[in-house]
Order: sequence, then C-alpha cells, then structure tokens
Amino acid sequence: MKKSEEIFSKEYVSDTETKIPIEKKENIIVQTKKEDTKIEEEMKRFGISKPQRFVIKGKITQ
Amino acid sequence: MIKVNKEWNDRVCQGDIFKDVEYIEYAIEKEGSIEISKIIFPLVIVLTQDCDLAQDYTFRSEKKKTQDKYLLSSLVAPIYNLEHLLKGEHLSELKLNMLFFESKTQITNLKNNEIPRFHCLEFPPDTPIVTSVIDFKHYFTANILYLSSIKKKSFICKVSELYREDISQRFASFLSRIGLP
Repeated sequence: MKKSEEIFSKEYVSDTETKIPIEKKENIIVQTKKEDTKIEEEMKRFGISKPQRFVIKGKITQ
Repeated sequence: MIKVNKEWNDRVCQGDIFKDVEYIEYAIEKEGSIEISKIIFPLVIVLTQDCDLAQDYTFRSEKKKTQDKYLLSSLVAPIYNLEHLLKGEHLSELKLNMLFFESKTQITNLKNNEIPRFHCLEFPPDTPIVTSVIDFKHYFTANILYLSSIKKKSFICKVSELYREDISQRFASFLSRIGLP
C-alpha cells in the first residue's frame, strides 16, 4: 500500500534539501506561512490534504 | 491495484479523477448581502455513465436540432486518503468526527472492498495518489461546464474501464440497498 509518508518523501522531499519529516511539515502548514504554499500544493496533488470549507460573504452592488 | 489511464481527453469521462473540486453547500442572498459556503474536495471521481457524458459532449460540440442529450450536472464522489479514513479524521477540517477502524479484520475487509459502503483504490506506483477510499454515502453533483472548464488544470488520471465499472456497480448496489427489519 502506498502511504502518505512514502509518496511524500519520494516525490516531494527528494526534490528539496529540507528532508523534513511529514509530521513537521503538517505542523508548518497549520502556521500557514507563505513559504509553505508549495508544500500545501504538493499535499493536494498527492491526496494528502483534507476537504476544507470556505464561507464567502459580500455585498451585492449594482 | 487498479489500472489508470493518463491520456488526455477533451471531454469529462466516467472514472476521471479531478483535484480541487468545489461543492457549493449553500448561497444565501438577503438584503443586499450574499453568503456562499463551499467545500473544496482535494480529489473526486466522476460516476456519471460514460455514454451520457459522451452524448452530452457530442451535442454541445456539434450543432444539433435539440439539446436533448445535454446533462445538467455530473455525479461525483469524493476520494479520501485511506490513512485519514482509518483514523476517522478525513473530514476533521469540516469539524466532523467519523467512525475509525480499530480491528485488523475491519481494515482488511475495507481494503478488499468487502464493506458495501466503501471502495478502496490502490493506485499504481507512477500515479501520484496515495491509497484512497470512496465513501458511497458521500456524493454530489457538479456542473458539467464547470468540470470541463477545470479539467485542464485539475485532471489527474482516469480509472480504467474494468475498475470504473466495478465502482459504478458497487455504488448502484449500495444506493439501492434495502434495510430489512
């Protein structure tokens, strides 16, 4: 079975020099730093991220 | 392990797997203000019959006398990461606690597709998706034109015919189940 950590380390971490374990990466994402955008994108690509809800509010203008 | 096809096809096909698909929960307009709630699913699979999707595409791309074969929407089901699902945490971002799988027997049954509610998908090594699960209790419709418009950036792969038919058959069977007393 292909696990998140395996695919993540194989496909993503090997591309970088960070070699940060997956657990630490998840923590970084919670902090939503700008430099984590790439990690978040990669997580989506591998199906590692979870469904998220967004509520948009606004005024209707003529 | 399932087989997938990564060849590009202009139209939306049954078995297509898309990433980042939006599902609008509600849109309320009141006194000049609007509130929209949407869920973005990281991965979904198209469940609509392929012949219906093909006819829809043909009727839209060729000028026919009627729009008889137009589809209003396509049925899709979210795909969840198996590891998240086993822990019951796959919808934690939506503040939903789901049942977690404790026993080895339960987990084996899930992976062998012996639980009617779930369908486990183990992707080939060259496909960048971890082992995932469809929960047949979760499905929604997405507008055909919306899916077509995002296909270029969101298409990942297409589950090959034999395996997609297996999914369809199990989904139909789950939907038509009868709860006996």
